[in-house]
Amino acid sequence: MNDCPNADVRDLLPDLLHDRLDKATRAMVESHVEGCADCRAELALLRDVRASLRYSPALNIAAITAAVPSYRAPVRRSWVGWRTAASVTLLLAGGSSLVVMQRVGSHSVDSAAVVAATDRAVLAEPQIAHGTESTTVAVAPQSVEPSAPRVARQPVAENPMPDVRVSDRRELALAGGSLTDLSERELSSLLKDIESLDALPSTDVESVSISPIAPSAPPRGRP
Amino acid sequence: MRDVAEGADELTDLDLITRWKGGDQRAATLLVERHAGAVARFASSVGAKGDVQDVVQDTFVRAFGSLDSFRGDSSLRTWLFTIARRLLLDLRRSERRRGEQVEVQENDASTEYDSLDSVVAEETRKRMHAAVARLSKTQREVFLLRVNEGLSYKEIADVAGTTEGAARVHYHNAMRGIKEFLDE
Repeated sequence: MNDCPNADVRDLLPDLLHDRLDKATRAMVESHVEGCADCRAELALLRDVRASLRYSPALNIAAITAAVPSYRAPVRRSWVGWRTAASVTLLLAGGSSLVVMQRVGSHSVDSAAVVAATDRAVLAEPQIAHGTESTTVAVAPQSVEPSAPRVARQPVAENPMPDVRVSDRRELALAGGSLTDLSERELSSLLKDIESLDALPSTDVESVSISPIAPSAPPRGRP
Repeated sequence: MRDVAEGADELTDLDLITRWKGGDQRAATLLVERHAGAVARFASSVGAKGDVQDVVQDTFVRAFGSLDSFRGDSSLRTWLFTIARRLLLDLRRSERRRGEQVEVQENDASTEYDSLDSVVAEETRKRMHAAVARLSKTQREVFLLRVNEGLSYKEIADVAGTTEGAARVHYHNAMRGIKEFLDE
């Protein structure tokens, strides 16, 4: 049995068998098959295959239909419900963030105060810190202006201040870490300040512990 | 509503699906009656043996359970073939894990096709069975979908998870193999 060289028509023979061709294509294929012995033989073969293998197996249709479930519409998700839930979540998250930020803000003030006090203690060490045991630094949040340490920690070189007061220059020198930048008058003023301190913190920064005190009990020696 | 049994032949598959969704269980029965035979033939062609009834039943249960996902891009029958094919693959995988024999033997085909058209001569039937049984699994699947069910190459590609071009090649190779066998 030979193959017809017209592959397009051969491709359409099963469709002719199943009557799946439109009118024009069907007419064209039938016309070709009429004059082509190879295609007639192939079409006959296809009919034989179909007749031989198109058996009808015994099926229990009733059992199959009994197993088919009744229709259940899919549960529609309520977008209103989702939006409400999302809104509540956002509000809760936002509120929580605000609370956390406020707490962090107050804590940073405390930390700033401690840093300022520690800086002073480091400066004071060569003069008076010997023999001092581990000391608790008691800092009341209200007793320290948070702006001072923040100014002191800004980079000096990038933003030089043309008119700097003595106390500010001292803070800037501390931030830069060099006492040589201070004049003799400023140094003596600083020493006086240190001597006026009646609570001397430990020079060991690592061992400093923080215990904020209640506003009703300000640190000793401070108004 | 008009009784679904009246003029059921004119109702398309989509019409029947709509009626079934509207609570008409008779529409489901008509769909099963319309396609169960083809699904059984297809299942047999891809290796179902004594479990054809189970495969066909599971196919319809799954299909009706997810008819909302059927968009009508392909025919319902093609979609059912796809489901049946997946079920059989899963079944064969689990059988393989249990170490059971899964290959379709040549004589299985003969026992599967006991129910014959009485017009076809016994000798021709045997030769056709033998010719088809010689084909590779993929060639047999593609060839029978094309010749027995009249699916297009595109539909065959959807069912068999291959490309249209590959389906065409498998079909023509199968046809060449059958002709060679019959010419021997």
